[in-house]
Amino acid sequence: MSETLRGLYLLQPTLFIAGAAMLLLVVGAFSNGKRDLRLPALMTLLVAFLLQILSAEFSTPVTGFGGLIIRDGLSDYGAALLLVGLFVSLLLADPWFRREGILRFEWYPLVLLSGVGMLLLVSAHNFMTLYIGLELQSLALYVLATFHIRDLSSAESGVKYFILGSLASGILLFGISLVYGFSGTLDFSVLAHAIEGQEQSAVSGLIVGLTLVVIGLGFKLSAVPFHMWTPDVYEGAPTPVTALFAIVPKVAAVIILARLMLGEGAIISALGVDRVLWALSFLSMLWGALAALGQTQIKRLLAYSAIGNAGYALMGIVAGTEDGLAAMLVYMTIYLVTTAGVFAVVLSLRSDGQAIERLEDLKGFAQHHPLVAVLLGIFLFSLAGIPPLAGFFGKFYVFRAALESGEVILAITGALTSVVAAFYYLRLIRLMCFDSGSVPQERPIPAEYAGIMAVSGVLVLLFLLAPSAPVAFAQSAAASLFP
Amino acid sequence: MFENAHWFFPSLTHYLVVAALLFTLGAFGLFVGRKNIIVLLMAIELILLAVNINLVAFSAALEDAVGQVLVMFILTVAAAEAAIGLAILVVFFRLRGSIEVQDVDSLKG
Repeated sequence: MSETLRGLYLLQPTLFIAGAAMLLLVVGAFSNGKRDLRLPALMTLLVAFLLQILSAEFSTPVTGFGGLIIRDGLSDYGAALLLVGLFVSLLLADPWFRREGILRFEWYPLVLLSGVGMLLLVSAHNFMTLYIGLELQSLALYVLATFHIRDLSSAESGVKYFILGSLASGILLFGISLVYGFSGTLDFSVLAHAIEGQEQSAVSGLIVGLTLVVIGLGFKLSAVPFHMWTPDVYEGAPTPVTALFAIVPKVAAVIILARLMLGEGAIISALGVDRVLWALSFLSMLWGALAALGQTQIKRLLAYSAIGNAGYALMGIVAGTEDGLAAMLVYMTIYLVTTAGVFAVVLSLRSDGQAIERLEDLKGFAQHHPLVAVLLGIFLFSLAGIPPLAGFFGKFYVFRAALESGEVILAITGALTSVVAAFYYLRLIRLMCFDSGSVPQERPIPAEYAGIMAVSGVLVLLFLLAPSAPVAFAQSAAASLFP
Repeated sequence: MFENAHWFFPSLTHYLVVAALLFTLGAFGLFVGRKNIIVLLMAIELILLAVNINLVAFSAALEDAVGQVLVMFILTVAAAEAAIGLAILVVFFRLRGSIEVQDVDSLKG
């Protein structure tokens, strides 16, 4: 097979989504937005998922387009996770948009195009692919944040996200230009070989460049101190878009960070760049837990929760071992499932035709909707890391990997901030169960939300019965970076 | 007649210094020159141009075309980014009636 054909073959799920997204855009435009594109969009993701699974190359990594892209266990695991996340996000969005009356057909192509960017990102093996993937994802997400064009807070969140996101891209690019200048290559594996035989002055230039790249990716991951856009964007964007932001792009960002830091024998980590990640992880866990304490808006609280969770995931990369990477992948999987459940509940909260956004409106929720309240309780307990729920295992694996590779301070910080985080999750549960409120909840809950809540709930509860199956998957994916 | 004029022709370092200055100017504009959102968009363009100068200079010095290929991509993406940025700005202006940075304040923090 020629090089081009092989590249096209390796990228087929991504290319399929790109083609379908453009087709949906044309269909939507020519039908004046009257045709319902939901089913075609969901089918696109389903087909892409099947293509990804069927062409999975778990045994040996394969590169395409002269090393621009790579397919290995890690990229397949990431892509599968992303496609599930996008599918869930589309399901979550529809009933909410319809009830608010702001669903426009552009929603579907934009989500799919951001998905193309993320898929490209997880299979990037060259800084050029990394940049293109990241921008494709970000440009679609900027528009999605502004999706409610009659709402000032949505527009404002779009402006903030755009300005800070572009600055992050600029920093990332400046880093890439330095890496290119000091190593003469943009390819990850050629770079690793170039580093080995370098003299000191060129290596310090590379360290500066790679640090800037990590900072740029940290922005997208909303790691502290580059998180300032997160609470505002989460609060201002329409809630289904917030759900998309919380569920999907983080997966792509941590996976490309893992590939960059740990690929090719972890040479880049060995330069000392992993200390930057250490700091990001430490600060994210700390600030994510502490700043969440004073929040009064549900979506702001979830933003800080996402910031904290980014810190725990980074801990797995800082550990730098195969177990650490596998723990990070398991953590992200559990995080995705739990967050999907939380957002299914949050999106279903309405009273008097208004979406509920303040924490105090949840008072007495348990009396009106006991079953949903119990499910939300389970998700929150899982996020807090209380055994025997799935979230506990996620944290446990990450902490164990960190301890095994000697990152004691990080693991202790993680454990302590989990306690602080448990406090605010428990406060939410107290609010729902023990405070009395008069706000009646709207019924019935749309079938999509009920289904996602049920599936997430079952997965979170029953993870304990078969933890070895997802862990084995994650381990075979992680093994692709540690031959 | 130019054999003694090597000092006149800029070396790699000169280009890098110019790029670093432009990058600093852009970052400075984003954080300090906080008056109008259009100014912020211009600052972002400055940052991207600094990167492009860097890449072209390195590409010429290394005698390797990859850097210039990346520049082409960056120029294309920058155009798309500017279009999206201005579109978001128009939406914001319609609702707020202003594009002053100090008026981007309805979300706390």
